[in-house]
Amino acid sequence: MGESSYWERFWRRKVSRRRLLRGAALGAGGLAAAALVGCEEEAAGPPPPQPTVGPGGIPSIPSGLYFTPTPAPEGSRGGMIRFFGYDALVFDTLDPHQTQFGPTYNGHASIFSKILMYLSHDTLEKAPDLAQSMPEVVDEVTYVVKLRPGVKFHDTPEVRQNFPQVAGRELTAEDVKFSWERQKSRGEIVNPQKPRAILYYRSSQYEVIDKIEVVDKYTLRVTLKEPNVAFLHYLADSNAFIVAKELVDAAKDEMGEPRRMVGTGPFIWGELVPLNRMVMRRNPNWFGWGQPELGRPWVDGWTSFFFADYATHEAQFRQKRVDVLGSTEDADQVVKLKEAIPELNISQDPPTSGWVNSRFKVYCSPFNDWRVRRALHLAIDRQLMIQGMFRGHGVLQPPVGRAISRWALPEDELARIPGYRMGPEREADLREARQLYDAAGRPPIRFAVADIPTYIPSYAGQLVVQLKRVLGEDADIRQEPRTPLNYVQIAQGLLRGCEEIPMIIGYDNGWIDLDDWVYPYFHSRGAKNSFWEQPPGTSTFDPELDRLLEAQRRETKEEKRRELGFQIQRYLLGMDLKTPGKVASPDELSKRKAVHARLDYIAPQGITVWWPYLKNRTAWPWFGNAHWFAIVWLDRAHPSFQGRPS
Amino acid sequence: MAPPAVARSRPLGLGWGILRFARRKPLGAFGILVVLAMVVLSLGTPKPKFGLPDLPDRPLGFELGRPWLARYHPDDFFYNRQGRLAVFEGPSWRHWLGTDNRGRDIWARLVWGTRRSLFLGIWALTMGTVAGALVGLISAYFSGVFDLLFQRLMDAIQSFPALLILLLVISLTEPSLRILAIALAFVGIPSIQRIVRSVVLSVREEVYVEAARVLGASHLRIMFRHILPNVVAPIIVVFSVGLGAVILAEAAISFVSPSSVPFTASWGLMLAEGRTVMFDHPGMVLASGGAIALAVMGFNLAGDALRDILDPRMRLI
Repeated sequence: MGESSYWERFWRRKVSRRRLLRGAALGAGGLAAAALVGCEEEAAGPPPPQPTVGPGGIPSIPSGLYFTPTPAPEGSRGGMIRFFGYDALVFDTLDPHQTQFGPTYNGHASIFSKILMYLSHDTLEKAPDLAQSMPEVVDEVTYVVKLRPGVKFHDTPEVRQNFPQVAGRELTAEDVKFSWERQKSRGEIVNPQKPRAILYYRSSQYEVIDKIEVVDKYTLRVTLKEPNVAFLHYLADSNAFIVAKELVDAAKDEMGEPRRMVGTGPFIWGELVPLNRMVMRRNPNWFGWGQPELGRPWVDGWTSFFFADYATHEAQFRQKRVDVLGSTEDADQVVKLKEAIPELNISQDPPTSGWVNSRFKVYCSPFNDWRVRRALHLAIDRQLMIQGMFRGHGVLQPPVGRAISRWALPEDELARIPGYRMGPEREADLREARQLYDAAGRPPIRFAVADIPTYIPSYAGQLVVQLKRVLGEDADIRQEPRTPLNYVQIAQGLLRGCEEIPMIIGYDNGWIDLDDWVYPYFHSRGAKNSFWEQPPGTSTFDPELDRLLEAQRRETKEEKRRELGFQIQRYLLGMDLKTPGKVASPDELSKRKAVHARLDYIAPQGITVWWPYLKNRTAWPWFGNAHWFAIVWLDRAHPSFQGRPS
Repeated sequence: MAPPAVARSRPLGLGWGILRFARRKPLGAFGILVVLAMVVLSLGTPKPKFGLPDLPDRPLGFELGRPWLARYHPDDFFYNRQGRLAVFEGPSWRHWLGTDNRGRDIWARLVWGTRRSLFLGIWALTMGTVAGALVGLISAYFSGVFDLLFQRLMDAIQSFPALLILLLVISLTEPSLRILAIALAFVGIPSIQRIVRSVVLSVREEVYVEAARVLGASHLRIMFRHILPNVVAPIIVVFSVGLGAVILAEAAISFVSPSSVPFTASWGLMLAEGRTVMFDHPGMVLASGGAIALAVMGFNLAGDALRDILDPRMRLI
């Protein structure tokens, strides 16, 4: 691969590494001021993480604002940032409260604002977005949210024509109340007859709210049904967008049309050419996180191009038609490019929060037998998946993503858990898998796969071969249907009976708080609990798990909540809760409906290069961070800017 | 007095016949050799199911021992001595053409890809040829307004680039080899019918056709009993030449839009997977690109030779 020679040369350039580290240290010192994000009210949080030198010498940069962004000088303002993204793949509704397609709410983050926002996914530090300050916690169930005055909705000729009542209107507490109540009621407040209830994937976040009182134009008082420590996270979640009531089509309970993409964010809807590009334009009247005088966004907008393959992407990057190039499957090629063009900046980004997993309908044969699910959990070779799908650039995924180190099961513990462990213990896991499959009567296994990312369907054949090697060549395992399914088909199929996709292998966006990783999926009232046949709320999916999931919502002490999170993960992985490191007894496993209902496999961790003229680039583990383009700018004075097509 | 014995030339044996053909048409013989090699390679993989081809999930190895030519299942993967996935390994006795980006045997994937290309090509072209021949036959036989309408419809289809139509069809439907075969057949209809029509236009003026008409034969009988047998030769030639084009189109689709066709071993897919690393690990690209080039050339040369044998007049077309 030529890595050694590259890294030898890489290490000779120690000065630039030092500079990077020094810069990051200065950035850490300046973060408390947070002048650029206008969060001077924020109490000093934990120190921001520092860049480290990862495997092979590539700097591993933390997520979010780990540095102090430099302001754009007058001469370097304007221009469009261009990059590769999936934003132009509009496979889902554009409605910000109803979509669950990550790339879609990436664009939303530019247009709409939230009450709070995350500054980092490592420290999970939050800062005010629409809020004037962090919400006041009156008691364990009461919060007071104060909004920034003077925040205006986008005001363009198109908006004035389509929604004159919204164009330039000030955002008020009523808008916030509507946005929350719409999701809490799963659309009933918009259209009691025809709400699109099933599409409110985040409803379980808002169902914790008992009462929303509008105190005045800029103040809300929220009362929860019971203490819930995740509530502040809900206000900062990657798609907790505040919309204007007038933008929702009441007849359809939807705001999925491009003309309805009107918000208070730093960018204004520009253009969407499906499968080609999404364009956002600068919002000149943006409230700038309380500091409009800084003149952000410093660019005229951004364009996200979709390229079907890496070769096109790299060619566009070489010609500076896109400013950033990142890849997981072709990460080695990215490193080689850095080798060829030494002036490029390079980093190993955090593992993505999104991950590859499979889910079962645990009420359908043969997956109603925990032995079959566990056999698959043990048999599937996650390391091979990392090699096969990402050419080694990935990480093992516990039930809470590795990207969220605060909540994920510790790496050293994960490495000891059956199904994840390697070496001689792996042999024992494979033997157990075979025994369990035999004991279950060697039933036929049919699985469907999602069509994107394409590394999933292209791996399906290899997965069959790998499973047959473990479970026996006569094991009847096959992909069915033979053709990959898109996510609309999957969503529909999950709602139907056992005939359709009892097991699906796909990709999920990934989340931030512990609650989001587990509650919506596994709680009996969870909005994403498609594992069991009963409609949510009519009976109990898994009483013990429900108890744990509810307990983590109430636990105010973070360390105790963390331990509860670990317990939940161990429970899902079939571990004994009383004896750490021990697998639960077969008796106990057979009682747990939720055990191995979802198998979590791996998450990608790519490598990115970008031209040095691109300033203040941040990396995030998942979608929904396009509002951070407000701090990015193009250094026209930098020599690398020469030759960049306008 | 007994009549003098007439010296009768002995018919050549099969071996001599082949040898003579090879000497007279060396390129044609080479083409036929390539086609035969493809057929043999295809037989080295499991038999396709009845109907349109689709790859079975289970490799032949599980039923009849390891496939003798494919050697491995196309999705089978291998580890190196360090216990890591044997990615991009060079050619060896174990892996004749080395391994690909996922530690799979390139030769095995090439052989399985051969079967896919060949069977898909045959199916698509059979459908396209039958449909095209019917359209050409009917259109030329009835002529007049009927012919005019049919031909303008064919012109309309032909005015769109074939690749564009193929991409449109597969993007609007679920990815499937059946759909791909039908789409390939569809784009082939206009050119096939045009050739058949031109031949039928001259055949229908023949005296024996006139005689059949005078005797009261029905249109169907005249078309299928008297005209069709006389246009079979050009149809066979069109079929053999067209196979190369269909194989190329299938590879192009798999290359341009790998996710729109099922992820089975395919030459186009191998090419797409290999192109990002083609300078460092050219094995995948060379193997698949070479196979495509060889197959197309083989079918074209074989088609040319067949044309010379079956219908020398068509050389002028």
